[in-house]
Amino acid sequence: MDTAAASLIGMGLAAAGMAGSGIGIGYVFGKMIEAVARQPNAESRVSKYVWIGFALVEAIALYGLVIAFIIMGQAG
Amino acid sequence: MISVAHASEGAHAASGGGGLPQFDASTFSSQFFWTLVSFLALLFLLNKYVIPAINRVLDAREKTISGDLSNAENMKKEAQQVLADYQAKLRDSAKKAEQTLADAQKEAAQNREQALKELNAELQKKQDSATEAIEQAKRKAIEEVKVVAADLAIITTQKLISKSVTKTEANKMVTEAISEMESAGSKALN
Amino acid sequence: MMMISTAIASETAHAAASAAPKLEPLHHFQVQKIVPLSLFGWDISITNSSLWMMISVAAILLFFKMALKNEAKVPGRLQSLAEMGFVFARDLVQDNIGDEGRKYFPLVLALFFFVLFNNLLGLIPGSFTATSQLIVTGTLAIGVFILSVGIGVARHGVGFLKTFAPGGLPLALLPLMIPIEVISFLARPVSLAVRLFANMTAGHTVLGVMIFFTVTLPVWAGVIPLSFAVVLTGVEIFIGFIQAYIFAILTCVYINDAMHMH
Repeated sequence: MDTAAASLIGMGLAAAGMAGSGIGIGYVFGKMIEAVARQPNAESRVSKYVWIGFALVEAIALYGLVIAFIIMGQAG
Repeated sequence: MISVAHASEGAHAASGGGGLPQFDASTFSSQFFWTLVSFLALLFLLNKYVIPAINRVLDAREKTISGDLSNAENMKKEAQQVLADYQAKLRDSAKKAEQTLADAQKEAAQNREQALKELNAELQKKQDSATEAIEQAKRKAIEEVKVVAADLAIITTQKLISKSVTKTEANKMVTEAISEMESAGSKALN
Repeated sequence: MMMISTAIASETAHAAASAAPKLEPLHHFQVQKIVPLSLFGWDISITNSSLWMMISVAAILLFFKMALKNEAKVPGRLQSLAEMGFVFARDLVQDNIGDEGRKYFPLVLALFFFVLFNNLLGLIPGSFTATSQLIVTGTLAIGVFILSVGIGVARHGVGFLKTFAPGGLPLALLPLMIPIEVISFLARPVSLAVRLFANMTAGHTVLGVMIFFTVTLPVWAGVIPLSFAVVLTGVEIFIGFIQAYIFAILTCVYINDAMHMH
């Protein structure tokens, strides 16, 4: 297979990894809303961990992006 | 992704193998150096000037606030003191008024007692004098009755002795004597 | 690379005339030398990246200088803002490390404002986002990593190695767990650096693509990507704050982990 075509496919696949991160971020904020709805005075404590969790999950998506960029660099 | 620039512009193509400019290792040393320099400079300057300044402001504000609070506390204490004083004074004056009232009542009672005693004494005296007068009159009357009785006895006896009397005469004489005595008694009593 | 480029180029060519601007959303991440310098054979040229880092530092200092001009007891707007940032970073350290962390407060404050101002100044059209450079975020992240390892070793000595063998695990699992723990520990600076750099790169790339479409599409259609670009700029400002917060809070968490081993 042509390397250029293969690298395009690889980049697309790497971008598909964002789906998992999307699910993860949905979980993080969904659970936060659930928790806050149940116990509104815990919001400040919960939100701190939510942002850390969000950052960790989001980083996964960005790894996918970085891999796509690396493939792009290798293809040349 | 799309990176047309590298292909077309020779300057960029020479600097790296394509892809993201961020992965171009030739720029790393200078960026590493300047990141360190500028971050450490920022850290140093923040630490030297900014943090003490903000701490100063925050401390001053806190001091002002706590000073105000303690002032307010003092004022409150003072006000409470004044209130307590006032209440004590009020209590004192109430007590004084009560005292005065009690004194007045006592005096009034004393006065009344005194007056009652005097009145009683007067009455007693009057009663005594009246009793004495009555007693005197009684004694005088008895004295007079005694005299009259003696006179009656004498008259009766005289009459008895002077003549023997019938029953009707005797009765008549007694009635006479009594009426005589009565008139004498009433004369004496008057 | 050439192949892809030409392929895309020909594709964009039929969307617009041949003289139309080309789609090159990664172009503004290009580091360009301004003053070539070198130190002991090292290239330490002042580039647009380092220039904007210095501008950020100057902007932070100027911001605080203006805010604290008269050190008023009753703060004005700017002073309130500066104090808010200050108290925010102080509470962050207090909540995550505790009283022992007071020593590291200046570091966290500097990291927060450095990242924040680089993120925000990078949104000015024509400027350069230093935090979108892997090596810049990597330098900061590795610095934090070295600091946290240093604190851990200084406080616990060899006992710091227990970080890699969490208590309460059966011995049989250790050969499996230790490599996982080591990898996850080493991944910390990588994720810290990559998160910030990739967030900034991705955000600016999307913004660049939107603006490219706004320029190349006919006016009636260009309104759509333009409105996207406006919204995305707001999102980018938000992300700039969030990423600075996350960078600062993760620094606190890593320092705390090294201080009080779990």
